[in-house]
Amino acid sequence: MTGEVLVLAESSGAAFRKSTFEAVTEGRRLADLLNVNECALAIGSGLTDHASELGRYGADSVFLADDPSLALFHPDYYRQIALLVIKKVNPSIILAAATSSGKDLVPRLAIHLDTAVASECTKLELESGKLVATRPAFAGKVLLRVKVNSSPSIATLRPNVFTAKEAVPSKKPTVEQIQFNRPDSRMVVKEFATQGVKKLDLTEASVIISGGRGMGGPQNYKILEELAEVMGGVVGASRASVDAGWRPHSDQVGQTGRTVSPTLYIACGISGAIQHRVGMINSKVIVAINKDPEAPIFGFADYGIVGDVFEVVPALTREMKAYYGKM
Amino acid sequence: MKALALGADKAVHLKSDRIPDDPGSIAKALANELKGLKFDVLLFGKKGVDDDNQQVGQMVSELLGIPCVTQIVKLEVSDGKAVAHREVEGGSITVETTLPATFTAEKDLTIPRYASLRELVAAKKKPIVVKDIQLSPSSIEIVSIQNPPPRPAGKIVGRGVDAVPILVKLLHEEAKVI
Repeated sequence: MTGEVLVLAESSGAAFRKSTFEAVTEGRRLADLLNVNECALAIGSGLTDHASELGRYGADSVFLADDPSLALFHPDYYRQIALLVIKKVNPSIILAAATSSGKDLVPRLAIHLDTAVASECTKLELESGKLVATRPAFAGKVLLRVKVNSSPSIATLRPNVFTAKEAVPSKKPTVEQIQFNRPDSRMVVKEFATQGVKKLDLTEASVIISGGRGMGGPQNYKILEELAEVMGGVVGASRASVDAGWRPHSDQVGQTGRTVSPTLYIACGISGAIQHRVGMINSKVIVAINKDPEAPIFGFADYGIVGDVFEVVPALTREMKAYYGKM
Repeated sequence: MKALALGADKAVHLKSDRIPDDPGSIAKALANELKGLKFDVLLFGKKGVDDDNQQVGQMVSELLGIPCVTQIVKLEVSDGKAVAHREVEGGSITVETTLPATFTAEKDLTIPRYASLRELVAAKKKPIVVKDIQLSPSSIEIVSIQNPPPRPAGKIVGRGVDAVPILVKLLHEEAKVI
């Protein structure tokens, strides 16, 4: 069968990312509309036992390249495997999550296949069999609807925007091992260094507690860490606090940092400048805590508390602890 | 002009016949210009601030057949080799590569400085070569441009610590996010 929907699955350690399940769910929806099969390509290490999980979200078949040398994203290795599978499957649509490796890989594939990529999409539609994608541009100030006229059409999906939903009935995917012959490469991917014990990336977190200039200094982020821990969230930061050296750039939410869309975004001591706003405006619910009642953030937050973050945040942590304790 | 003032010795302006809206067409034009040039390091920003595509750097490298490391926050170059640190989800990855190679810059790679008046004056004497080019056909087409849905202001729950229990109640009962 040709014209399938192919999803490039991504793993972190020996587990698939949530954004991969989101892409597989969306791929299933498109495959049903086109009346074709959905297949997934999983490249990584230690994934053999996990391949069937992709079926839970709708994949009919899984291609698996499982090798210790594939544990970390290597552009040359991943490109070679992906092109091999694409040649085999001849898909009409290719989807990947808009992660650092997804966004690195698919433009490489596109130029080899002489096709185009719609980046960081927030909605996908089909118009007479062609993929039409909605994607934010100009730092989120406009939404572009773009049509990919070449085949296969490629799109990357912004994490946390599409919902991962188990397929009914669940699929028992066929699994085909891809023989990986390591190609010559001028790149050596050496090591992955984590920053502290951060479990979840900002782009995949469902709760984000962010701190800005109003936090006063790096030592005060402790109160945000405590709230994040109680709520199972992660801590983010505004550009002002990153430029001040209080937090690493990887924590930055905004135009020159990450674009996030969690279920709940709590902005603490953040004024809500336009460059921050574009990075978090697609959060489902925004809460702002700021002592300045005139702060622009109150103009687009769903709920606001006017007050001192050093009093309100610890009180919120206690209240959340009590709330989750009751559950 | 700004790039010349900040240190570039020469600039080439590829003047296209239309607004370049397709990363593939841009990459082909750049690769065509770069082909046959001798260089060690090809630097790009990680993405354009208009279309936010984040594709051109990788595409150019693939067309030239040279390595490309994207989203780098640190770069050390020595002896025909480079070590780059990529910022990825949850940490950073170290990549070693031979040169020539392409790198796309993440925000913290360098801190752009301002050009001095002397540099700005000197930049006026540096050459800018303008070349008229024809872009290859675009395979992606903008169907429509919309404003994002407005996000109206919500409510101020209250002031200070007293508002906290009300907020938690609203998040649970009204917003249903906890």
